[in-house]
Amino acid sequence: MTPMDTRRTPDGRFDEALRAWADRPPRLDPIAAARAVTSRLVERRRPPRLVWALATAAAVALAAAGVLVVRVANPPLAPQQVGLVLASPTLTEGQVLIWLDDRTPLYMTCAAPDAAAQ
Amino acid sequence: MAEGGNDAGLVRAAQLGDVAAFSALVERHWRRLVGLARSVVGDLDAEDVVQDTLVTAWDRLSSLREPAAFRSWLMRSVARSAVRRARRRAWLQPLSSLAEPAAPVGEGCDGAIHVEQLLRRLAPRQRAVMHLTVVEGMSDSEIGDAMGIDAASVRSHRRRAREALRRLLPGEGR
Repeated sequence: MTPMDTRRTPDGRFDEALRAWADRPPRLDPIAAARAVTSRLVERRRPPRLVWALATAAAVALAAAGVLVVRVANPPLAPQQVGLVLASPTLTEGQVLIWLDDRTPLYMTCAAPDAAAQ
Repeated sequence: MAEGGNDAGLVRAAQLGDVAAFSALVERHWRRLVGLARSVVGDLDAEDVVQDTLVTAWDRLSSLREPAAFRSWLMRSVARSAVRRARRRAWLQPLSSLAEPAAPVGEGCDGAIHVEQLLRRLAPRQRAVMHLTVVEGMSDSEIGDAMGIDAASVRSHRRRAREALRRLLPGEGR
């Protein structure tokens, strides 16, 4: 079979077309491709300072917000309240203590209806 | 230029962290690697696959014990990445696109062969085998080494690819 005959077979025609197709120049020329790849390598190597700075700032802000929320939800007792709390008797089971103001405690006792009837 | 001929020195430098040396290697092999990836994943994804593979190759460069074998090592990496990408894409392909066409694909009215259309009808491994055989002129054992399969499997992939292509692309004596 001569080379001309080979090209006329499906195999030969496909091989020829495949070689030509694969040989087309890529979109990126080799120099641009090398630049693109190395810039990706350099980018990965560079210590991500900005990212770390942002992460640290976010962590600090989050911690500050957490502390603020806890402080607002549980305000520290005034000195006189502390004295009253310390002076008040220990609550037994079913007792509830509500402070109406700084100096006025309200004790309540909760019990089941049948227990109250007895 | 005899590609791969002077790779060893550049590879050793790159293994020591010389990015410029690696850049020179990329420049040298880019076109060939894109050709391989193009045959397996098509025009659209080929350059992405090669770039991703090269970035990974940089990380793994220290594992290459024979710097002179850089080219075949890289071809192997690209072939494997491209086959993986093509398989993932096949899963995402709509079922309607897998139906057998009513008319033969791959050949236009003008007799021009639509290579990408024909390759898409082959399994990803068959595409890689065809490329490495026809374009790179590699032996079965070299292809097997590049693809992590034995030479008999290479022959089997090529035979099946040829049969499929003959069905899709009848000869002139039809």
